[in-house]
Amino acid sequence: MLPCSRSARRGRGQESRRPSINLLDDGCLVRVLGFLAPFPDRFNAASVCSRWHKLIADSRMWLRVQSATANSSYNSFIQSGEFATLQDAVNAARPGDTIFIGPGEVHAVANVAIDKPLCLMGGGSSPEETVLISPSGSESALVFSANGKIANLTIKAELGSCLLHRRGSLTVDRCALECEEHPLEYLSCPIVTTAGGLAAHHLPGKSDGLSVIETRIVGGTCAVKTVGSLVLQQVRVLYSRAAVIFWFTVAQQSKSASSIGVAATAFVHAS
Amino acid sequence: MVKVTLKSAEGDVFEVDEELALESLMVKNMIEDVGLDSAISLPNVSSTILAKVIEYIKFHMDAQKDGSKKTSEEIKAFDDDFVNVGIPTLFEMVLASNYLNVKSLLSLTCNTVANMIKTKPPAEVKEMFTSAKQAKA
Repeated sequence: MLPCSRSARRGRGQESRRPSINLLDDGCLVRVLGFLAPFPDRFNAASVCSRWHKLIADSRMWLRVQSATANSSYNSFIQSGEFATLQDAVNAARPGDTIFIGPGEVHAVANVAIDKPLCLMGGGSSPEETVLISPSGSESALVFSANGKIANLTIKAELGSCLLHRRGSLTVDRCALECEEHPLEYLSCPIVTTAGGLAAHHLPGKSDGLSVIETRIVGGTCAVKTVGSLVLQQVRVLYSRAAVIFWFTVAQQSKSASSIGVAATAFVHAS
Repeated sequence: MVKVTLKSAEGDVFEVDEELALESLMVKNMIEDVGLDSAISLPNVSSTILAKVIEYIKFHMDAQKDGSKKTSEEIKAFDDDFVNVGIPTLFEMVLASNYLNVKSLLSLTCNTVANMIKTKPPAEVKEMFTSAKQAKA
């Protein structure tokens, strides 16, 4: 990659001091880029050159959710972006940040409100390795009211929903959503979306929606309950022996169909 | 007070208090490994930059001492003035503070570079940091 950087640093004469930022090594540059707001500055910086593009995706820029015991293997820079609970990480995150949730642990979450564009990502090699549990008594594990993405996570809800989608465009990629068995299971639903409705008219041009990709959904009355004006569409289901895997989108059907309270419920039972 | 001898890339010798030298984690590790008898050689840091780093650590150590009359405005003014240098010097200070492992200075200089990038379109950033290089080529 830029061969000039090392030789320029070794050169000690005045004439070899070229004011190129690429003379900084990766560690320094990651630090510099870490000071930028993820959006729009870091996004812009990604298009400066291929090296920056690579560094922007560096995992040292992520916020981490990890219990204190697992800290020691990371250097102090990473510890600055480390949090004990998901709620703390969400509070500290800037719009556009990625939150990395440590694998091999069970994280308790209850009504974690996500009101800025964030990407939540599980650290394991499969969604089962990173588990978020929402205790009964909370309405939903995660509440999204901004664009966002969750990937590689297992979300379990004792009672209530795993995801409550209020507005924005949400992507659920390779996750597992489970509503646990409970006498009042008929009250729970893995995904509830209340997007659409009145709020949709405030932001013309921004479309609310939910897209679910390769996600295992278990339990509850139905896989997804839509309370707003959005309609379930493009459903694909893969029935395998171990699990039922879903692909679907929930989106506005057409502009005229955005009346309030068109409650469409998809009775897609898992198993 | 115990003194530590630091040797810059050019071979210039800087004698500083041990307390000051320990602010650099890299120097601290070196002292733990080899002791205080010989000069600590820093081949990646030029004399001018090393002098600046020492000046920075000295100011902040004085400011933290009890009975220091420096207000946070004064400290901020010093920091602002300290990083108000040419881009090449700034980059050398980033590299030096990373090499010497001085956390506060590294944060300050990296933040300064980040502020230069902030709110600028990519083309302008590219131009800003490479113009002199292209002119030479």
